[in-house]
Amino acid sequence: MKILIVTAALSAAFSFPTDPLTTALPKDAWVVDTAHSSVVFKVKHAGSSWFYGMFKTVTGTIALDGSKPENSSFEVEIDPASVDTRNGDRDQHLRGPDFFDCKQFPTMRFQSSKVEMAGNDFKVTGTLSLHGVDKPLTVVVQPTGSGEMMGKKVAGFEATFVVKRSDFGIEYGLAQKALGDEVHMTIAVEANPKAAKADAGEGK
Amino acid sequence: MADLIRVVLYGVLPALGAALLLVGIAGTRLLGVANGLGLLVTLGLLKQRLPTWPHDLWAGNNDAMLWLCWGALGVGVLAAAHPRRELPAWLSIPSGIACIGGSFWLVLVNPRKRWETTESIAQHGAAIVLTTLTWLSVRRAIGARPGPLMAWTLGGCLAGDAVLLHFSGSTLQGQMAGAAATAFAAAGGTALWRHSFVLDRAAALPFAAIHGGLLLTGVHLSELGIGAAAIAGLAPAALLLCGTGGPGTSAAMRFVLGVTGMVALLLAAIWSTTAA
Repeated sequence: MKILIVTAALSAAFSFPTDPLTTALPKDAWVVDTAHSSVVFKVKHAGSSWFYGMFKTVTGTIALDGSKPENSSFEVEIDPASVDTRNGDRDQHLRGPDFFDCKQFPTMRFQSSKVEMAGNDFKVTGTLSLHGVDKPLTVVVQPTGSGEMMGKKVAGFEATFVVKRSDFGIEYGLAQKALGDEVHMTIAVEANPKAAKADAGEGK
Repeated sequence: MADLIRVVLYGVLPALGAALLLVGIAGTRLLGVANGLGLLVTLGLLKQRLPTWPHDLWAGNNDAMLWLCWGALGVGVLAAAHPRRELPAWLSIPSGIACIGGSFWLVLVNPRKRWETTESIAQHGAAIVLTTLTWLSVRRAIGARPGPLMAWTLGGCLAGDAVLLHFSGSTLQGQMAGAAATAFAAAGGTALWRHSFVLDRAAALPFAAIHGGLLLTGVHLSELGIGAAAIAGLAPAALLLCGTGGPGTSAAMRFVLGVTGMVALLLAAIWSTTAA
């Protein structure tokens, strides 16, 4: 298994005071707010520069239990067809069979199986499903803050990790050394309590 | 330049080698096997990994391009059995249709998950019917003109598929079509030292399965339109003109007519794709 844990996340995503979410947040499930969440990736182009792109659609649920972290869970789903690299033709190519093959494999999903505390962070082990291949993955999820927005509770989480795309059968461009194998991903999500989400609808 | 050379070598050499070796040794009845092997090795080289075995593929992600390659090899093996009469004559067409159908059924494992039963039947049925028509037309055309020119013409048709698939958004699919085209062209090339070269009619089955299968993946994995795929899919049927015509029409003229019809249809499909 060549998936690497690289770093804990670096920055707070928004300006609410950061308190230890492990104790401050209710144990209920939290729902990822797509409108205020980001998935950014970078990959080496031609062995030289870092090329950045993003996925615009991320959904998921997070259940936290600070006193019993083993009862916590993280589930995040990304729509690979929402890839955005600021070039329509390139995005279309990325959606096709050469890369994400979105028509065959329409979802990218992480489902946790084990959650441990690592200081104020969560060390989350689970399965990453991408391109029809399931691989175990361990990431450090950092709570980046919590607060209120228009009467709704909000909380932020961020994880940065590296995957080898060849592990998932996405090898196009490797032979030509056009694109690197290691893809650095940062997932920064804002979440609302499930009940609030149901009441308020989509975050605006 | 080095990248281009690498792509050409990976895409062309396996199919070239397999066709020269197998067709050179055992004749064109092994062209389908050579094509299947060439496609598998090409895909492995382009993806820098050994192709997944069918049982692992079935238990794994059922990648359509890999199923296309394994299907091509399976169809090639069946086609190699036809001329030796390992199969009874009455089984020839039903077994060919079953092979095309089975190959397409595997290619469509993942897309099928999103379809209702009726859509699934329609998608599979249309692809199998079109490909069967192409197979029978090409088989007849080969019977009428079994020389190396026909092998090169079929290779040219697959090269047209490569252009079409490239413009539909997948370089990989284009390269795979290019590999298949290479195998047919190389088989025709063996006529340089095998002066008794005769393209076996059985080669029509792997040709049709690969031609139809590639266009099928273009529609369901990439951005190839159904209309363009149907036009390109039936383009080789124009080669039927090679075997028809009145007493005043020479064989050469009929051949030119057939090839012109095929090329016109392929160009129409490419034009409709690039214009979209």
